[in-house]
Amino acid sequence: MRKVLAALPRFEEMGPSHAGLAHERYAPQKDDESKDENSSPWRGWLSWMDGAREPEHYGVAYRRWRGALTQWHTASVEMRATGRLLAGHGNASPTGVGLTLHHTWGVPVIPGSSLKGVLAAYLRASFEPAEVAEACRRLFGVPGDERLGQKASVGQVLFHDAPWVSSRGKEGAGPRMLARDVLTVHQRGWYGKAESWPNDYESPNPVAFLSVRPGGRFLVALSVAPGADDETLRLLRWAADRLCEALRDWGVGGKTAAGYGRLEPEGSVVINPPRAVSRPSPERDAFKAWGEEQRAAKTEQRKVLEDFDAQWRPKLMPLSREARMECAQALRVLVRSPKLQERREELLRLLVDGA
Amino acid sequence: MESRAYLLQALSPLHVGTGQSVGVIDLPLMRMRSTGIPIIPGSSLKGVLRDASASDTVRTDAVFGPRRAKNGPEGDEPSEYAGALVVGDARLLALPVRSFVGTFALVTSPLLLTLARRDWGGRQGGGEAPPPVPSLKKHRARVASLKSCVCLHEQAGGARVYLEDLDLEVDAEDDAVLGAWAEALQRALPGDERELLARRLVLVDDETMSFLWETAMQVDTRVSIDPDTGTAAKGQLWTEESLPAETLLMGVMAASASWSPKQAMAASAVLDAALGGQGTMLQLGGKATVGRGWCRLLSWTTGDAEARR
Repeated sequence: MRKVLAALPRFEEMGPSHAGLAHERYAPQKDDESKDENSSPWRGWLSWMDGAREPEHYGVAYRRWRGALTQWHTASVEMRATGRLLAGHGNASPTGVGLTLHHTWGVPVIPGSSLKGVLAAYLRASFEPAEVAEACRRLFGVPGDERLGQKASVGQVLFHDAPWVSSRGKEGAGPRMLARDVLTVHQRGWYGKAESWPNDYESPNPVAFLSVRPGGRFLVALSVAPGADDETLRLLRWAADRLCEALRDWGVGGKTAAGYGRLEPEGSVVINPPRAVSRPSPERDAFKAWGEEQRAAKTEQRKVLEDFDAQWRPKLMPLSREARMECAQALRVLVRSPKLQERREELLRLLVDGA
Repeated sequence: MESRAYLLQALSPLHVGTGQSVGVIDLPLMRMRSTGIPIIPGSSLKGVLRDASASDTVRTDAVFGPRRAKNGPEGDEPSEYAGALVVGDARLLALPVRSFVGTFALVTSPLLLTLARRDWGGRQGGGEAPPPVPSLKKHRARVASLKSCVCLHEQAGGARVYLEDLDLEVDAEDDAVLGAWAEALQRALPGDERELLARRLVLVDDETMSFLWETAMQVDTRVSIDPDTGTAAKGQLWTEESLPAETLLMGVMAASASWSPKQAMAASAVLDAALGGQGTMLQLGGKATVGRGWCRLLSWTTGDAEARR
């Protein structure tokens, strides 16, 4: 298989087709100590990985994801990595330092569980426990405890994986995602066998690995289910703002003590009300079609309103609330005369809130 | 009784698990007992659907069945009427497998398509379900169109696909049957996403497929840090398996006319109410609060791929 793959056309500047697969399954034998940059397959592989770019069609999946988020109450913000980012460095990897990439698309991603953990640690460190106890209970949930008579509850906020923000143009391949990185062990003897105290006479031992290039952008999003009350939405915004602070000041992922993983928000946190999916409803569609006909025929608005009251309102009453709201909006667009406004709203109140 | 096939598309990793295991992976996926195909039980989906439509209670009760008046054993009384909806298990239809060419392939097999065809109402002999799929030789792959598939590597001995660790030879002719499947599945998707599916669909033999659904899954290592020590809390380092994003699952929903005395509904109206609008987002399975299990529910518009029984 390795020989077969070696025969694949490799465009150094284009990088691998799936960075995650190439990272996990296609690394040659490691030789960080080789002096010759050109003849070492390991070095060649590193610079190939360094060229990894966003794959074709990822933009379609990214736009679909953004669309999906709008169906719930979602607080979202795009964040830009100000320095390098290294998530999942504990995972098994041929470089010895792991890296979390999207399983299917191979683009960098910050796991939702990391974001949740960072926020929990940040709140614990920045506030008095009593001050945020209730917020933490609602954000993260609590395990039940029979002895204390405490009921278990689930966290109300969903921490989504923060995916790479698509920036691939029509013909361009987009920016590079990963960068070669190095950490240098200075006292190998001490970390290894520990027969003597660490000293300055050992040769430094560089270890090459890969991390996410500075400037990479991620879509950080938190959601709560539709139907949430104002109180929960305030909690959502509060959590999103604190998470932004935590990511800016503390960072996420590994090696944060060395300055890795800091993210700067681009713009402020946006919370959109959920956008309901239009459900199929023949009566609603028939009503809308009727409305269009009246508009085309320039029927007098007073007559439209009378017809609506006599013919349509009884037919529309059994529909679901969402469908009735849609019909109400259609009628508002149709009947605009200020004189009729009062009558129109009275009828719509009957339609939407029930008689 | 009326039935309609539905499609579930995972937009984030989907973990519908068994909760425990004795294997290498601490939290494995739920699978069919006889074949090992990953599934989502109909009861999971039905509960989530009920929750999603709970704003309209009379209708919801007619579709999903009445709620119990009292919790616990004392509420165990026969209900006035039954729910009108039957939700079948969702079964794996196409699995995204990482590929050295074309990023990933949506891989399916004759067995998966045969089971899907059964859901589709193919037994009725209706013209709408895609044709049956003949089996393949061992370690072989087929694609709908050699020209447009993005996962192929052309070389002297013919085209090949490289999926995870596998190197498979691709039959040298276009597979018209798979083409018909791609087209039928595309009809459930919005316009700009159709190409993504058609150009990545690859058919492999059943043995290879079962190897892939065992080994090509997303496996994440998770940890919970103890705030006092800064290290993993006791027993809180675990691995969990998920169906990766882009996975397609298929199942069937059936409905009778409403049994509720308060709300009359025809069987097709029950199905419309359950399936909701095109592309309704649902959260299925475990690990919801860390973004797992966001799925899109898709179905074919009436008359398109629907079987009346």
